[in-house]
Amino acid sequence: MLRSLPLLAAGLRWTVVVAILGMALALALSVVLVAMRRSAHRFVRAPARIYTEIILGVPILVLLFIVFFVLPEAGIVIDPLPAGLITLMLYYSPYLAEVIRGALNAVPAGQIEAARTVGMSRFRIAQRIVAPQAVGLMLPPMTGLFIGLTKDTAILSVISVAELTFQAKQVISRTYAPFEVYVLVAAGYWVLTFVLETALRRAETSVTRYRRA
Amino acid sequence: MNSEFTPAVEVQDLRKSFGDLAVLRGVSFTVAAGEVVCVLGASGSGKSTLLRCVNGLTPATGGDVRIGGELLGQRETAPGRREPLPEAERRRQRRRIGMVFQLLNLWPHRTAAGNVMEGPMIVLGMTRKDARERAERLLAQVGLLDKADVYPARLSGGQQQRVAIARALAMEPEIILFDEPTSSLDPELVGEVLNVMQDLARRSTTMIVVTHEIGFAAEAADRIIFLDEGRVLEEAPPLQFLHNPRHERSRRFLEQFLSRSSAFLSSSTPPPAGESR
Repeated sequence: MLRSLPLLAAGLRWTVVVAILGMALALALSVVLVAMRRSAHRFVRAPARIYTEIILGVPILVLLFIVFFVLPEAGIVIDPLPAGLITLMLYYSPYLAEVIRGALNAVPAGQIEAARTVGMSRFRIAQRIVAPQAVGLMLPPMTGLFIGLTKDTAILSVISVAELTFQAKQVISRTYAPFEVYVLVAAGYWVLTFVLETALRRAETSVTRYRRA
Repeated sequence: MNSEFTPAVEVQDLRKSFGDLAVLRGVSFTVAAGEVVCVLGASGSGKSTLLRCVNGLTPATGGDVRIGGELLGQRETAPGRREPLPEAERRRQRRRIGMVFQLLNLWPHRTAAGNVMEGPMIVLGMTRKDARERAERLLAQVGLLDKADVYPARLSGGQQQRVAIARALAMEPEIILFDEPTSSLDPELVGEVLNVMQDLARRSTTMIVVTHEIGFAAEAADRIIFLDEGRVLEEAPPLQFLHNPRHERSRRFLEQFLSRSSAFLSSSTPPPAGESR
């Protein structure tokens, strides 16, 4: 059992890497989706909306199977790690996009008009008036999504990405100690999400200080 | 053009429709530099829309607005031929026109001084130090220097609105538009804001004030414009308008107002006639 610890530690490291890359990719695609949804052109808005509708109704495990097992049928073969990352990105970006969109819309229009009357450009308004407030509004719901994404990295074990849950199964197949290993693995995920939650809560407290100061 | 004879604001046959709803149906008036014009009218008469068209926040459907002789939002390429101005030019025009809104529109993530400094720093490219100096001077002018480093959440509505006035002044606009600046305030906070505005009027600030504060209009305005159903129904010096309105609609409007706000008015105004009916 003790000899398995390095394996589990390696798995935890991969989980961290996959989670961070997954968050970054999902965030990047979500920004694109938000930009599309805010476009003036119907033909730009519509695909983003339809994509969101579809993803919201598909389980992430099914999405993973589509990316990893179905796309090769169409000649698109993807390695397990990129397939897992793509799945996390595809699955979480619409949720993140909705959170970002809601936060942007929650900044009162009057504040934006006030900035326009001062003569600020669109970019400056976005940068100096909307973003600082929207970030504080989007962080709490985003925290929940990022925690979900971190835990969902576990499903990558089914396509044999060597993250924590996959390593756990490997260890169990040799040690026959599922109880100890899974408790340890659960504790590992818990610590990861706890650190994430604490960090994001601190970030939120710091960007919303103006509400209490 | 000689600025002495060029009006600060010239509005010509201004029209604005939202779909089928015609809100402004050809409004024309001028405001001379240093003049204070109060716009009165029932709700829905187009007062707010008028201000929003004058500063270009809302594009007009027809008609012209000229600020210091310069056509707003368009340029003449040849006599009779016009094209819309590029956005950067419109921004340049907009900053010549200050605006104070009905709702409290301070940026909550900036302190009082930060709200005032934002425009000078970001739009005028001032250094932080210079912008801070200007902000402190203007906050002192509206009586809030001691609140410079306080966030809007800790300011009363009246204080927030005074900061908003300082924020508008910081851009050194040629004219300031006020859109019912006291309408969303508690009654006991209205006075402090009106005092600041009267002070501005005494300093010969060019102002167009949409208001329901007839007392303020009587004391501070050089002229009153009465808007009714998207048209200028009456335009007169305040005392003439308040004591001797020419139109039946203005008279009824005033009666309703005087009966409600009699406490605010001096004894020289006629007794409220609206109540006896």
